[in-house]
Amino acid sequence: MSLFPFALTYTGWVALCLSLSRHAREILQREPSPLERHLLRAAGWLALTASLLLTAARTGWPLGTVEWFGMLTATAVSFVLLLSFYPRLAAGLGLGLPVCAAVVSLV
Amino acid sequence: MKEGFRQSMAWLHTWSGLVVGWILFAVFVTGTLSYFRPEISQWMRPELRDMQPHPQAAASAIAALQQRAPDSPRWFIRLPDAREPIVRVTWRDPNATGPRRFQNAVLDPATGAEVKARDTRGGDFFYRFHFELSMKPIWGRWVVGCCAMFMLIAIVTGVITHKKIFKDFFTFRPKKGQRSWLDAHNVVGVLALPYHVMITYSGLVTLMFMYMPWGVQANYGQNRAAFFDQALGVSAETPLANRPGALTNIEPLLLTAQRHWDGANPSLITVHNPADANSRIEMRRDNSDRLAHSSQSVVFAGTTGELLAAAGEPMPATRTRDVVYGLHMANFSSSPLRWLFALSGLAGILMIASGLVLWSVKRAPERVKLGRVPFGQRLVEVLNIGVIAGLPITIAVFFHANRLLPIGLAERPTWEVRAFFAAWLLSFVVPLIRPAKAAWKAQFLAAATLFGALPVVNALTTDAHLGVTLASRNWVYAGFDLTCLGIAALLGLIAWHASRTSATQRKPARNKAETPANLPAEAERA
Repeated sequence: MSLFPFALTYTGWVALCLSLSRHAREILQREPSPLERHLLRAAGWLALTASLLLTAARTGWPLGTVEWFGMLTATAVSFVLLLSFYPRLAAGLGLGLPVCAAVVSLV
Repeated sequence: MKEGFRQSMAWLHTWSGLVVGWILFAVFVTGTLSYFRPEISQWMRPELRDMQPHPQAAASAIAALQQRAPDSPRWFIRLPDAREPIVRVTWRDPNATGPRRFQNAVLDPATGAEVKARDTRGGDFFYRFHFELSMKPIWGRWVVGCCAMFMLIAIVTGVITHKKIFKDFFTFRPKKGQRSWLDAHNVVGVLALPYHVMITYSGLVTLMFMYMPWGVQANYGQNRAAFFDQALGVSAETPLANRPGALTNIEPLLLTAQRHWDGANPSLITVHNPADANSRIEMRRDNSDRLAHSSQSVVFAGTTGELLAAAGEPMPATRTRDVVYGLHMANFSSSPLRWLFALSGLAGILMIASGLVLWSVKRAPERVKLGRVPFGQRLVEVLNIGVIAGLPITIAVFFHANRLLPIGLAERPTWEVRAFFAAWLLSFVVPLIRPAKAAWKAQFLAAATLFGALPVVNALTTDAHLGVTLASRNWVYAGFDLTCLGIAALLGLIAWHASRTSATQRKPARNKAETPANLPAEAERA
């Protein structure tokens, strides 16, 4: 299991969450435009799909899919917990985590 | 009509969840612990601290068995791996009958010498409890299977009842009484939904030949053994030659087996009639590198080492069952993946616990109106506290008993189990004599203290404590102690929360939106 696809699932959740107006207002303090919402939704699904592809490429489809579901649940639960107490930090980590993961993997 | 359907599903969800909720809670907790069955078994035998896997393990185990049990009709040798680096041998005593027929020993992989470790059921206790509840095996398995069916119903009806599954996907609103409990229940239910469905369904599949025997009966009649031989590739008995024979060197056979399985190791060796000219050596594949949990095996002639039979890749139906079974057992997983499974298991535990508490919280206004607690509600409250806050205590007591009971005590494993159930019984006494809020707090605090004390008691009674194990990077033992500290912290946090707000007494959503950030969300809901 590697860190980057793991972090990507978190990013995916953040983007999907921001595409919902209730959460967007809470985090960004403003209503996102319809275009922004579409882009965020696309970005979210893209991140989740990319994570699945990366994981499957590493460990093969059977184990990769299982790992991916495990990562999805783990990041979703941590994101929702963080979101209810520190919404802006929770959203910020959507960008921060993949960068950290990429740096750690490269070093 | 639609409203009527939803309501009837909600009713079904409430009651199918409540009646089996307590058993399911125990099943989920012990099942999640079972992901770490080898590690728990190791920790509960601190004498095995320095064992290491060894390439000569199979050969030295066979040499040891030739010394100890040359006349035995059958030996079983479990080979060491990274998670359980010991050799476990079991052999049939030809002169004994009944349950004493099988003898066990733990061997050092490097030398084959017997290692004297304390007698305990270790992680196997939780593993068996997970599907047998310490009842008579057949009864326990039927009860757990029945509860699993209810769980499937509760999952399906829960999804139907949950009106805004996608809109509320990320929503958890803390500190709002009933609202928060419902949010929490939904979040852990929905976010780990793939796991919940998978684990419940695959759990039923693990015992499908017992729950649904008719297909096998129709084709094989009473001869179930023949079915298992064919379907699962378990080899049949071999006739004796009644001439003495010597076993061949095991090393080349291990390599042959590995070649057959794309490099996977054998995990279990069975030797049939080891001293006979017609002996057989059977090896079973280790499944830790793949999803499927199949019992693929190869059979060699014991004296010549000739390869007699090798089960190929199973047929599609068997393979499907192997994968579903494997998903449930999760033996395939590397340790990060195992922790992800454990996290999802924790989500399941929290889902069941929050569902049970929610039943009580929902009826709080009724209690206020009546001015007393009706019998049914009191019963649920006592069971909730005794099971949800009691089980952590009993698990910790089980581990403490392992360290504190005298080493030479007769029937030591039984006493550990007795300590477990005695502690559980006691956990039901506290909520009977104390008010709910105080009982929740006291039990969680006791559980946190007991878990926090485990590494300390371990350090006082053994040499396998954190001071030693951290320094030598022995992650099985150190990981156990550190996990105990983590669990203690978590339980302490829950106890602290329980003392601030009472789960069952708080009125639902009194204070509207204290912070501006919450305003839009509130408005949307109204």
